[in-house]
Amino acid sequence: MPVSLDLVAGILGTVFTVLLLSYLFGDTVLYRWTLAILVGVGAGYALALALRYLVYTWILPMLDAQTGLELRLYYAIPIILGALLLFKGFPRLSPAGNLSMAILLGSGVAVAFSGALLGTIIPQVDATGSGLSLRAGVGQVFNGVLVLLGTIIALLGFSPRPEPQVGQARLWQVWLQRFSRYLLIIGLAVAFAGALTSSLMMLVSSLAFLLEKLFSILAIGL
Amino acid sequence: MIRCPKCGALNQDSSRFCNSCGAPLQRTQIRCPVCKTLNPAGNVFCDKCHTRLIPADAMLPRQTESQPSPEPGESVRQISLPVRSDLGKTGPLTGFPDWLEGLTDETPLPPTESEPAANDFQAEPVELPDWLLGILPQETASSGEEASQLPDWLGGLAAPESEVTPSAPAEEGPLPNWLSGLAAPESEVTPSAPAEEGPLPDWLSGLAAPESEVTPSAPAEEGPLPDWLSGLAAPEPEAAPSAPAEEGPLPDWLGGLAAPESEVTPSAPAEEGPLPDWLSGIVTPSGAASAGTAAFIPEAPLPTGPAQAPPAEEAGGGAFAETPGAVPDWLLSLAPQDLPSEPTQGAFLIPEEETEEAEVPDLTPLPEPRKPTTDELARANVPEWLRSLRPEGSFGEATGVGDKGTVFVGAADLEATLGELEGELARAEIPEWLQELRPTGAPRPEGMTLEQFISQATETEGGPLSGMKGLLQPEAMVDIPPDYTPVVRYELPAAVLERARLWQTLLEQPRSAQRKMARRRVRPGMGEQLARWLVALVLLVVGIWPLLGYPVPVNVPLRNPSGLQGFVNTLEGLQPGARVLVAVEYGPAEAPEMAFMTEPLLTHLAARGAAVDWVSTLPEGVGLINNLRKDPAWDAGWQTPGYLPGATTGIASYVSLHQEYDVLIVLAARSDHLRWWIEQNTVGPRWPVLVGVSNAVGSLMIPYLEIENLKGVLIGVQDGTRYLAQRSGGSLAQYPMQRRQLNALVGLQWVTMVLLVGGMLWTLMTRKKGTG
Repeated sequence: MPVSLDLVAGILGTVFTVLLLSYLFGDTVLYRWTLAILVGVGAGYALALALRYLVYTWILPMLDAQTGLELRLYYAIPIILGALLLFKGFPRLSPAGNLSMAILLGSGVAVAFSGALLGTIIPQVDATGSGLSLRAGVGQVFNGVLVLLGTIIALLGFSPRPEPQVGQARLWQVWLQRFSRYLLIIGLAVAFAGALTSSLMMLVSSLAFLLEKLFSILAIGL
Repeated sequence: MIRCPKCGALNQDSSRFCNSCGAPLQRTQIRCPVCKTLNPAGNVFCDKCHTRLIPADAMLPRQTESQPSPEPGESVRQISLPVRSDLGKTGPLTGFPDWLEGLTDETPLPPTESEPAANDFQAEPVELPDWLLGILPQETASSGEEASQLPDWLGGLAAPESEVTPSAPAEEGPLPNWLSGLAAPESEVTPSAPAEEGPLPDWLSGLAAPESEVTPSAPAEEGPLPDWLSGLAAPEPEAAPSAPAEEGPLPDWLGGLAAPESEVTPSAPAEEGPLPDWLSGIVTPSGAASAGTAAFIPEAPLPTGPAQAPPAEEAGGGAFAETPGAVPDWLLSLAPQDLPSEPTQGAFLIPEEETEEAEVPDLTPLPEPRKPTTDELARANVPEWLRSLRPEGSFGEATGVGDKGTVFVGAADLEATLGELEGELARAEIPEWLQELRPTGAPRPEGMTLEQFISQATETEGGPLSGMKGLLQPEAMVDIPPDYTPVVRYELPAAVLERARLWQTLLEQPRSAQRKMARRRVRPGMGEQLARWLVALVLLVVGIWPLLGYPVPVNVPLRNPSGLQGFVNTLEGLQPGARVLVAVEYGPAEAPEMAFMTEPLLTHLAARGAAVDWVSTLPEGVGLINNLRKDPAWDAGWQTPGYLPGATTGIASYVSLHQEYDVLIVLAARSDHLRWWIEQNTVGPRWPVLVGVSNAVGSLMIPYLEIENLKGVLIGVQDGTRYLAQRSGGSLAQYPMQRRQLNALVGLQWVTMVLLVGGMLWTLMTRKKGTG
């Protein structure tokens, strides 16, 4: 059987998958080694990709003889700003990277704020209110009411005051606070269920990969 | 005479400007020691209260020895000037009784050979010390003209001319013989012509100044003295070997004035005779300590100072200063203690009691200026902080105190002045608000100087006065009220406090101790390990069993998800050549799950002939894109921008620069990446969006389901399998492995649910009280 890159990759993949599954025996050395290798490979890959992107997308076009002066400046400015960030690794020279860091943080915050406001909050408020329209039918109105009530009650759960106990506040206030907490628990449970499902799907994928490789090695059709 | 302060020339009393240089001359006034009134120079009595301004002793002949005057002492303060130049003027003297004035006028003596010398000596100007120049009236400055106005009988008592006053001698006036012997011999430093010794009466022979070694002036020729003056002759001291005047016969009435001869003052004794009553009281008893001088002459050496008689060796004026005797206390108290024993001019003080007995005109010394006592000073309302500034020493140790113009140095002067002014000033009352502003620092301990106290003070920190010492400590503008007690509104639970203590303990532990704690593992118990193995075994069996193709008891239905129809419709609406932007926002770990959506999607896009651009904000996403493009069926010449750095900023920049896309498809297994794309697309171009997410992100995607430009959503393996089945004609027969994985996933979900519920019940049943 000819040795191909896919075969080597498959064998390595199988071994690392089994080693990861060794977590079943606890936080073993094999698991830690495997985790370190995966993280290291991922970081190396990301660094290589970033360098490749930097070289091919910015530096080479800037150094191209056919590139005009304006375009050279367009390429040079981000490179200079990025180079200044390297000084952040040296405490004495770190102030040199403040300008780049300020640009990054300033632009990032501005973009994130505008996106969160216009792309998340306002559309969601609009969607919550539009659910109360009778044009979509009674069912949608009921759904909209539930969404609105759930949103309001869930927001009431984020009170800075401690949870009132019976006797410290009115009974409806106590139960309103508790109900909001239940809604939050349900929401977190749904998120946990989705995460658990994804984890189970990873397990299934890993098992399917192992079986496929194992059967292929054994020349047994799965 | 007035000495010009600029050129030093002597001017007339009436001159307002210097005759030599033209500088304005200042007139001197005499302040009455009682009523403080300024009287013009020349007044003997005060214009206001008739207090005697010039003591009678000042009218006696002053010595002519010009010596640099020492600093005036405080003791002579407010004592009338002892020297007055007009004493030597002719005419009636105001300070002497009539009988003396008449005696001098009515007893002319025949001129002798010493007369010219005496007149010459009197004509010499006298250099006064500075301290006297300011005090003396204008007429006190001696000059030859002034000296010539002295009565004849006093001419012999005038001091010899000094070295520093080489003024031209005035014309010699006739001098009676009986006074010729009083002429003082000239000293070596005064190269004036020596007066020839003339016959002196006996009583004046003793007054002749002894010739000192320092000033070996030529002795005046002794002349015959009348009998009545022989008793006044001063004894010749051994230490002053001046040539004594020849004793002459004294009249009987003066015989009693002759000082007995003693060892100290070996002047020739005068024959005792009956004394008149008025003289009997002046006659001093003979003895070693007494001198045969006139009763108004002090018997003891006066203390040195401005009001002191000169010593015999320096004073050429005669025997006044040589005569020892008791000095009254009031005079001793006036004498400064630290002045040099140098003679000054015209400093003759007469004891009060003797003066009275001798019926000498009022020679009572002026009352001594009253000094405040220590108690009075202590009672003065001086703040403590001001007392602390007082230098060491008693109140009387003021430094730099002069007769004219007191120079205040230190707190002693200040307190002395306060004591003087105590009767004139109202007692100060410091209000309470001002009392509160007193310095709050510790008082300066006794025995420590102010400089030491400041040097040991704490430096001020901060502010514009930082670094300075001895400053008041600033107090807060807003202070905590005294009755303030903080109110703790919330009480932390014990668990929180315990956790905080644990964190504090962990943080305060040394690094080595933390490592030991980190390395220490709590091995699970046997039951826990068994349960863990049991759960693992169940999951493996349930997962592998469907994958091996064995049937599962749970039939997974392929229900049409709500978002699938919109997803498919959007893709079906794409025209050939439509630009589609696909964002791959998941990693290799999520690739198998996302493959349920990715494979049918690419097939669908290829079927629609869309132009696809692949981007990813994750570095690993680019690798997945390249892996997908290996399939020739899916690589329809699509562009691959690839890696898109900058996260949300990169996405915002990209969507703002590329407006040509018809559909945006986001395949994400990271919720934040999905949110970035949706937000920036909503803010920017608002392309129609199709979303395919994993189950982990699906629940977080729910809030965005109602966004207007969201056209379709596929969540997890279930929706992907249904989409795959729809693309395959409603069945998964062509994709058996995907079907098995779906069955395995559903089986694991059931088993997991059972295990979670069972574990929860087990925990509830086995939970001990007080735990959890």
